[in-house]
Amino acid sequence: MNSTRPNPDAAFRHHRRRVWIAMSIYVAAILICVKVIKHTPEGPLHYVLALLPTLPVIWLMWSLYVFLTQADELQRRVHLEALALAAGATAFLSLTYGFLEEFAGLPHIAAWWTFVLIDIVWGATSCVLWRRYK
Amino acid sequence: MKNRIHVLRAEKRWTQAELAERLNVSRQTINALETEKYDPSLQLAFSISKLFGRPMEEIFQFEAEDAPTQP
Repeated sequence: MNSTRPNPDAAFRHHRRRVWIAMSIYVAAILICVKVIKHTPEGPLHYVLALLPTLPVIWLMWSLYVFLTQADELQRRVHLEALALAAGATAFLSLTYGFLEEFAGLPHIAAWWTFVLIDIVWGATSCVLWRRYK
Repeated sequence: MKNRIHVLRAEKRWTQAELAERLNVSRQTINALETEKYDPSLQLAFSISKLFGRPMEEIFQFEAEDAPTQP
């Protein structure tokens, strides 16, 4: 065991705190950008405003990476298994809906919903997988 | 795989959180080990053995049903 590694319980608490902060900034950034973009003339500023909410998401990804490097073997197993299931389910659902949209005329859904979907499925699969070990 | 972690921890009068701290794993992992729902890696098993000062075979009991089945 690497003795310099912080305690996994503390690592998870830090990660959870960072997730809440990042998601709060993300929601606030979306609300602000949607308002500001309406009153901004088309141009490069639109790209900047459209991409601004992705900054807290980058922080979120970094936090997840840090947590996974500090997690213990069981935490890592559960989270990576849940993430693999979430990635598979999201890929399958987005592919299926893409076909339905393309060939059956179902209404268009924005690509950013995949982020929401993978998070929801990941959360749900994590909860289900943890039950195995309780 | 059966183990005596719960008994050895009780002998030392440690809480699950204290044992987790000493092994640098989460409390959930200690709980999963004690309830025998999770088998530790060789590295963690060695750390447990070293911490309690007992040989591994005294802490972990490998049973026939734990063996991987041949195809």
